[in-house]
Amino acid sequence: MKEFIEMLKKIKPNVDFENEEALVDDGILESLDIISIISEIADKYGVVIPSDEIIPDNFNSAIALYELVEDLK
Amino acid sequence: MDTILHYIQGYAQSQLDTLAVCELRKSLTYAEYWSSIRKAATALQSMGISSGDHVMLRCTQNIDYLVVFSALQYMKALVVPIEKTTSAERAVEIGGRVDASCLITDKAVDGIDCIRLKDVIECMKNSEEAEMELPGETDRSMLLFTTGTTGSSKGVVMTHRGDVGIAGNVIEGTAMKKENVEIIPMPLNHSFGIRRYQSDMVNGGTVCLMDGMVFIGTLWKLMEKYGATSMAISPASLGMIFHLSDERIADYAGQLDYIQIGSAPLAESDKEKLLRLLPDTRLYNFYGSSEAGCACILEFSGNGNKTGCIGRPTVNSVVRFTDDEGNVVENGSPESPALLSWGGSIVMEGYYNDPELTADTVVDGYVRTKDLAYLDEDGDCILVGRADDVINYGGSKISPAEIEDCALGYEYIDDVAYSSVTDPITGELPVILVVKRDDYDEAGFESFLSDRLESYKLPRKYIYVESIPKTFKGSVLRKEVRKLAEQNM
Repeated sequence: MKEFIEMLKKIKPNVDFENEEALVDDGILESLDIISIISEIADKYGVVIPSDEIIPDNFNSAIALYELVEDLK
Repeated sequence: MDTILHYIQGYAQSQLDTLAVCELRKSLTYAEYWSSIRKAATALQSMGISSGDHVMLRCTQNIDYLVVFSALQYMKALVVPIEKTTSAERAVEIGGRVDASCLITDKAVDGIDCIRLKDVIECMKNSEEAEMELPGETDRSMLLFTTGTTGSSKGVVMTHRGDVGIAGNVIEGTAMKKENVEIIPMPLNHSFGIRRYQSDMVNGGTVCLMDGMVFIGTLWKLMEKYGATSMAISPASLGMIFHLSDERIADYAGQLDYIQIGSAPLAESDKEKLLRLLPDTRLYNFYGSSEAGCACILEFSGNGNKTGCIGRPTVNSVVRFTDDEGNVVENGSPESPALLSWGGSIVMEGYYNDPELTADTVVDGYVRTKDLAYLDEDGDCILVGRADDVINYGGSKISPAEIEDCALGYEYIDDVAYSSVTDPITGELPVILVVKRDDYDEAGFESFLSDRLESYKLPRKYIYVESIPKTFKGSVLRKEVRKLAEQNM
């Protein structure tokens, strides 16, 4: 999880990924950040997120996204 | 009918259970939507907003936004929608320019009176439905800020008559079916998004809202939950669909009646891919502006591929051609294209607080453009280029767009821009900037062009660059290209 958050921070520094639970709803992550995260997850973990799973709920918190990636591994 | 609100009111009685507006987890029938609008008007009144006030509204791209937008129209306040990401500084600046009394927003900003959107929605729940006279067709409906790529933004004042006229253009242009269910991911503070919503309201159909296209999983859920039959998207949204889901959209080939694409030119490769994946879906491109919306429509899934074709003028728009001095001329021709103007009920009232610019832009009820065009024998409007862009080579006029369209057919180049540099003898000397691929060969390219173009149109110099300067929408930045050409001579 720690490593996962480090990856997110490289894409979007200065975001409290440990605690933030409305990354999308509060407009903290923008479209390009989402694209970068999807691409980085594919590169780093070899996980291609299916398009059905690209929904705000899965990107609102680091933990939700981490769990999705773990499920898809 | 006079206004979009009249249609919503009518459908709230005649088809009360039809869904009007939907999100993934929320939807309102026409009866519920009309009731919400009237309750929101009562709530807004209790919060100090009156008829005639200018009220900025931050776009949150959801049903709450549309309810408040419509309520402001219902109470005859002038609604000024602004982008959801507008900075505090910019919001205050726009507020000053439009004489706004307040900003309705999800996040309060300093420097202007703010009302929280969620407070309006909360207050609405305990409010009675307002009983007001509906606005008339000549009343102002909204003030749209254009976001041009150059120069300062302008406030386009629309009337209800204009909104209804434009909606009619979209309905007729797309052959919209009565039971249409349309997905709109485009921002509802911009003309493209809000006018598509309005056309669905006039038609009595259903609008499904999405906030952009990046959360593509939401698109599939909306497609399935509401049985969406159409989409109004930008080329960038389409690019996102392909990037994130490859060919998944083909799963809905039998469901999608049409897709309308606007706000920027569509890349040829994406167009071909869409045609292949959705062979039975009608695909449209609209030409228009905030000042005169949806003036022309092209069904590119059905028509032949005429270079520069923007389709036929729509039902509520009137096309007119003028020369450089503003004299009305016939339909133009390939040899002597003329300047396009658009008239009819679709024309804006004017630019807010700018009578000079309005007088310069709207002449005899027609919005003047700098587009050079002509009507061909089929009644299709063919764009030749922008008056500013045309190159005068020793008295012969050349449209860069025409040359670029031809040059892009050469397989060993990635991109091109046709331009000119100053020349003491001919005035301008045509040049071409090329982003080449492996195996490119200048002699081969020259030969390709000379087989297809008149000799005076051939570039006098070939300049090689890494990329062509373009706007985020993909239009060539002509001034930048010219500068680059001058530097490379």
